[in-house]
Formats: sequence, structure tokens, C-alpha cells
Amino acid sequence: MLAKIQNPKILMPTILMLLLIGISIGFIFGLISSDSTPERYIALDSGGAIIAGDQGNVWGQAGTGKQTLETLLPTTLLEAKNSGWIERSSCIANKGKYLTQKDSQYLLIFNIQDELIGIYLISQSEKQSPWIKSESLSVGSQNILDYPHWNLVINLKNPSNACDPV
Amino acid sequence: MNINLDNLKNTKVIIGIIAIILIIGFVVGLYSSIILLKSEPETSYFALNSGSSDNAFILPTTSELAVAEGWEGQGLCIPGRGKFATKETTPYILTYNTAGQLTSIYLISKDEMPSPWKLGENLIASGTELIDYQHWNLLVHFDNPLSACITLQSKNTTGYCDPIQCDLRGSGERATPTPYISPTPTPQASSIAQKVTANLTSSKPLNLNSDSDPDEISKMIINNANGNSANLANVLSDIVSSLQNTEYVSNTWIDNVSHKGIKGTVNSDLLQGLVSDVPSSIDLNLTIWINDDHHIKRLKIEGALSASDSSDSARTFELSEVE
Repeated sequence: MLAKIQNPKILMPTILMLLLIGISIGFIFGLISSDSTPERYIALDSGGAIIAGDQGNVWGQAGTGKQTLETLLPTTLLEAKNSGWIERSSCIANKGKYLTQKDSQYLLIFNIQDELIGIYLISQSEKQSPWIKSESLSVGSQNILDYPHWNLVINLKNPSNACDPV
Repeated sequence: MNINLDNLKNTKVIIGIIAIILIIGFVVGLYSSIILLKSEPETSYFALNSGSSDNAFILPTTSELAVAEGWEGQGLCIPGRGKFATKETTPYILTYNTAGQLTSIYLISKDEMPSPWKLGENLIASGTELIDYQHWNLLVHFDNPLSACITLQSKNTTGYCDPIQCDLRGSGERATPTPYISPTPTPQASSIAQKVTANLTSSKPLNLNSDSDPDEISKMIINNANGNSANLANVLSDIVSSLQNTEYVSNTWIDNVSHKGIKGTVNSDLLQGLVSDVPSSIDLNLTIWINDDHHIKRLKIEGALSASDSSDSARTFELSEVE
């Protein structure tokens, strides 16, 4: 066996093969360890007012006494669907896909990569700019919101390429 | 180069060579993947009504941009919120973290709004009244607000200055050096527990509740605790004063105020006033979270509270004073 290794015709391919195995392992290890897409944190928070506390200003309780008043929003389409959000439209150029949830006073907007790119806030009372008055929110023949309302879209990513595949 | 192939008769030499070749390959592969997969971080983009020709506003993603666009800021970073920046006639407020990145937008409505909007009184930050009227508000966070006020020590020592703190006042005054104050030693967890006990014995009647959907045992605890609210403080006082092996655990935010965590073990017999069929004489883990005034705001009981209960069970309760 050792005598075979001393044969240069066997030795060189063996070295090359070992090198390739090492490179492959290193590459795969690099792929796995670099697979860390930064987690996005998007939340709605009805925080109440700031009041003076002993240690300086603190955020005052806003009535419920609950631990937190934050609602963490789903940042991917899969998370959204798992949380009961329903896809109501296909991807609309420069806007994205609209999702609604029962009794929710806002809509979520996702891009074609299924990332959360916007929040469509709804008000039934008159609002000043930057709110916009709309008679309805329709996509093709489908009415997503079929009543007059004021809306404000918070864009979390540029919607101009919302429907462009990568 | 002459290679002495006779050395390849030695097994140790062969294994050494194989290891070296594999390590060289591994390093080459690792660096290749790092270089190939290296991508530029995505530029932040936050806007209102993008795509609408009339009412589109791109929000300044850094405090530097905000200052350049005429936003005025508050110097003090409010834990859990950040630094507020306002602009006259703009019906929303922006907040930035200590790194100067946009972290949230505070929307204001004078008219009643449905949940998740919340009615708030005036808004005061850093001693300045930013909103002096009752209003409905909604915050949209673009980042975790709990990390808004993390200090940038390395940057500060090299002369970094947050535009909101440095530029707005434009004075260029040299700061007065802060006199050195020696750090206060952290008190032992057990001595804090004594203060908590003292507070419980003199406290108003207490109320126990659970934010999550409580199971049957939790419901029984809540019912027993609230059925005799006046006695709850005494029961808790006995429990906390008997805590063994106390230690500090992670702090938590309750109602946006940081609360200190203290964990210890307690004999299950002390819980019989709350859970009638708790197994006797076993150690249960108890964690309490207290505010700066040493009042308990939350407690967590870990361990089996009945014969059929799992030893991995953990039940968390919120504590408040009866109004």
C-alpha cells in the first residue's frame, strides 16, 4: 500500500483529491456560517405618553398594564400567512402584494421576494397630509377596501422594484 | 525540488501530510466562500406614500440627514424609544438610535383612532413638551427599540458626535468634564429580596393576573390569590423571604421600564395557600422582577404544581396593586 503511494502517478492525484476535499469542506462551512440574513424587526407600538419618573423620563403605562403594547409584524409572507394574514392581490407594480387580516385596521404589503415592504394604515376620519383620501382600494376587479377612507403607506423598502424578480 | 519519497513509508508522516493538505484546502475553500458571498449591506429606505406623486415623503434614515433637512432633535436618548426629532408642521415625529439610524416614526392623530392606535396625553421628552395636547398615537418601529440607546463608546472616544446632540444647538462649546464618581457596589440579591419582603408587608392589597392564556392551575392560583387580595401580600412576603440560592437573572422590560430579575428556590409548602394540591416539600424555582422601588411586578414559578403537572412547567404572573 505504502509502495503505491510512492508512485508519483498515484501520489499527485491523491494530493489533488485531498486538496479538493479540503476546499469543498471549507466552502460548505463558509456557506453555512455566512447564511445569516439579518433578522428584521418591524413592530407597531401604541406606547402612550412619556411621564416624569424618579430616574428621569419613562414611558408611561397606556392603560392596559400589559407587559408590552408592541405588535411584532411578520416580515415574510410565510410568517404572515401563518399568522392569519390573507393574500388579497397579485404583485402590483410599484406597490406590491396586499394582505389583509380580519378586523385589522391596517394592511401589509409584501414584494415578490415575499418580504414585508410596507404598512397601509387606514383612517375613516379625515386626516391631514401626508394622509391621502381614497374612495376604495381596488386591484383589477377585486375590491380590497370598498369604502372611502384616508390612508397612509409606511414604506419599509423601496416599492419601485416590488415586483421585479431578483 | 527533490522530495524524498522514502519518508512516505512512515505512517505518521503520511497522516501529517494528509492533514496539512486538508487544512490548506479548508482555508482556501473558506476564504473563497467568504469572498464570493460578500455582499454590500442593503441601504435603508423608509418613506411615506412612495409611488404617490403628490404625497410621497422619503424619511431621513440618519440623524445627519434629518438635521440637514431641518429636523430638530432632543439630545437625551430615552430607553426603549430613542432620540426624538421633530419638524414644525409635520404631523409625525421621528426617533433615532445612538448610532444615528432612524428607528421609528411616531404618528399623531387628533381624532379618535381604532386599535392599535392609543390615546395619549402630552408627549414630553428630555424635559421638552413635544406635543402639548391629548392625541392618539401609533409608533411604527423599524428596529428593536430596546437597543435604541446602546452607547457607542468606541466611536465616542474617537471624537464621534451624534448630529442630534452636537449640531442642533450649534454652540461648539467644550463640554465640562464629568467628575469621577466611584461605582456603587451591586447589592447582594438576598439583601434586595429582604427589601422586597419589607415592601410586601406594607403594601396595598395586590392583584394577580396573567397576560397569556392561563391553564387550569394558573387559573386556580389567580382565583385563590385574588379571592383574598389582602392576604396575597403576606403569602408572597413569606415566599420571597424564604427564597434560597438567590441570584440575579436577566432584567426585563415591563410597561417600557426595566425591571431587575432575581431567581431562587422556594419550598413548595409555601405555595399551598395558592395551589391546594401542590406536591409537598419539593424545591420550585421562583423568579421575581422588581422595579427600582423594590416592588414586584412579575413572578414566574417553575416546576410541577400538581401530581400530574410537568416538572418543566413555567407559569408567569403579573402583579399589580388593587386600585
